[in-house]
Amino acid sequence: MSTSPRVTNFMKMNNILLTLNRRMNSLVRTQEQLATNLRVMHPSDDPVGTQRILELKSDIALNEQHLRNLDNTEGRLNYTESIIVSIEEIITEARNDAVFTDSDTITDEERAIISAGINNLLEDLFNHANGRYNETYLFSGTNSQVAPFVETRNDAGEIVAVTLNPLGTDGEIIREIGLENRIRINILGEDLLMSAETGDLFDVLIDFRDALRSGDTDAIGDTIDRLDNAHDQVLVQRTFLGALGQRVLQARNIAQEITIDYTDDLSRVQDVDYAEAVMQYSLEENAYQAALAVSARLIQPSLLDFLG
Amino acid sequence: MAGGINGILDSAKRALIAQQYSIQVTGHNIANVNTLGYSRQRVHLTTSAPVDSMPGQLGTGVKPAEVQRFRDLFIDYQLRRESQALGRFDAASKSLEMVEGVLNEPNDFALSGILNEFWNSWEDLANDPTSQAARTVVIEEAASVVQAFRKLNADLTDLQLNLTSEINSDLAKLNATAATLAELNDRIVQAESKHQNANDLRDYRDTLLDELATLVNVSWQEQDNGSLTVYVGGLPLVEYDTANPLAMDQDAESGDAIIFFSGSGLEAKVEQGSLAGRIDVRDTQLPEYLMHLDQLAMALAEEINNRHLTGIDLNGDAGGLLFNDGCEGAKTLSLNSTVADDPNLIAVSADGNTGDGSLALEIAGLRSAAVAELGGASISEYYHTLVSRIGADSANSSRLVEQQETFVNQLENYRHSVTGVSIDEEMTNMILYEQAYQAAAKMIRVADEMLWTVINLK
Repeated sequence: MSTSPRVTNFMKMNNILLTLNRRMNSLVRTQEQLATNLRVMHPSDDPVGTQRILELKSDIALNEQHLRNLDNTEGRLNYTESIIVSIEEIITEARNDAVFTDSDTITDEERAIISAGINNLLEDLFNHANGRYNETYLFSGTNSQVAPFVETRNDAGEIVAVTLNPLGTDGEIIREIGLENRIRINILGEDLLMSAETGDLFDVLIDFRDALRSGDTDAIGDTIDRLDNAHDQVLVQRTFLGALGQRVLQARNIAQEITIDYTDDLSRVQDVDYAEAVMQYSLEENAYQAALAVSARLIQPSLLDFLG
Repeated sequence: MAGGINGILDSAKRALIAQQYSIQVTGHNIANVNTLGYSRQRVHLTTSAPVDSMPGQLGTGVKPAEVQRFRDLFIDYQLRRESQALGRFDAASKSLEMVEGVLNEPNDFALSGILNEFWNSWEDLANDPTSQAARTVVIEEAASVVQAFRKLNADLTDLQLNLTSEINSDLAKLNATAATLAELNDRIVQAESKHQNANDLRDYRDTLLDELATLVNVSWQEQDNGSLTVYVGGLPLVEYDTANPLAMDQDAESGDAIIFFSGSGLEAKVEQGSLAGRIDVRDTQLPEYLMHLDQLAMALAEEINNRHLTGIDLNGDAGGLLFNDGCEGAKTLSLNSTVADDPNLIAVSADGNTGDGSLALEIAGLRSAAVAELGGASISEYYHTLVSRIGADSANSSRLVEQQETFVNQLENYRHSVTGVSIDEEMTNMILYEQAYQAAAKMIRVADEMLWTVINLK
């Protein structure tokens, strides 16, 4: 014969308290989640999830850095390109002058005026070639604190020769614009203006200016070809820049997608599913209230209530 | 002759006394319905000695034989065994929660976030190697990293110290309890030598033993004279009226806690209870976490220094140490003040030109580069794994607490099902005894009437 176990007042209370306590605890926890909108507040809430959160946060930080690197890279590339466009304009203008002056009907006075114009173009070119971005010289490689080109001037203050800075103008400037994605973003001054095959643009302009003064028609006639060669060289670098621009654009697209994807992933691991949490909260609240109601009825009566 | 009217009066008197005893014990039960550790009592009634007479032996009524307490020794044993485990899990779980608090992860202001900022500052420097601002930021972020490592180390070491004082206060409580147990042994033996059931004293002793079981692994044995011998790790903690107090010492080499009997100097094997839980965290888990943190700090300093040394600073000189040599862990991680004071000495140029920041990119790449000293994990991975590991330890121990709590609660209910006072039951008994008392009183009146009848016979 099995007897039903004795149930004492203490046991009733003990059970009621344990139940109420647990219900209250989960209620408070859900409420905390709702208030912070975080599912994982301590590593112990979800150890594996915590690791994932830390990894994602680290990846997001890196990606944000890549976006910052891209901003910096794009700024510099755009500025470089605008300088190269200006140099092309200088070449075009000089070429027009060369075509105009390559004729027997030009007077000395006209040549003198154009010569002065070429001298201005030369100064412009020199300034552009020593262009700076963010306080660093664009075309002097990693030796960014020295100007890539040094000029020699005559007594009249005119440029008579331009040479590469003997302090050194080489080296690659590298930017990391994505995971495992590093690009070289600088053009060396000598590659742009002083190529061995296509000649030295400074020399071309100096020679042209001087030929106009001396009336050396042969030299004036050579200028057009020499300018075209120099232009080809500039175009090569501009194409290089264009290709870089493409890579930068792709890298930015990727980085932006990563931002969206990773933020999404992070939210999925870290954040509360709001709808679910609210539902969970109502369920727990109901359960808590039910437990309270039952407890209130359970603790009241005893035999005492019915003894006269 | 016992079979006479006097016999009826005698047995009615005995019945009155017996029921009165029972009602008094019922009152004692009701009074102690909420007393911790109280076991309900019952007067054990037996028939009093019969007398021989003509038709056969004649009953002489009832007598209270003894006052018994209801107790199930097996449930006591189980409950204390499980309380020891609960004490251990609970102490460990609370300490591990504090470790989590110290880490404060996942949070952007904790070490993980600081490291991310630190790596990014190197990339910013790579973008603009001659910028004073970028250089200063690198130094500031490096200082934050150093500070974060040192703070983690200091806070975790503090937790160890806290645990030491908690262990000492556990021991103080344990020794006080043991002393009271010894005193109770003496009183119980004295009472029971006079054939008295020392029920209430025994209840008190059982309660103290319950408390002892939350502190440490105990075993016990009751001697024939009623005294209780309590053992910790096989050695006596309480023997009759003597308590052998425990004390804590630290291993000279490892600093591990050693619990020993201060009288004999013998080591007490602590395996359960809150003492064991605290010792676990103090001497096993925390040293391990600290060790991982040290590994990380050393790897960070060494890997960055190795790269930094190959570089050339803004003045054109070879790079020096960024972190001071001789870093033996998170505690001794420090920035080389020469570089910290002059950000121009940060060496990030590989070719010697000031515009070259390729080394800064290399250093920034360390965030995901495999490091041999860290078993091929990167610095970030290693730290993330450590955090996850601590979280898992903590989650695991709080899960154990919850399970064990349920179990202990169930056992407590079992015990109460035997020892606990039920008001309904006591009320029923009271009515039962009261009616018996009334009936006995009626017997006296009947006997009285019988006597009257006899006296008036003419």
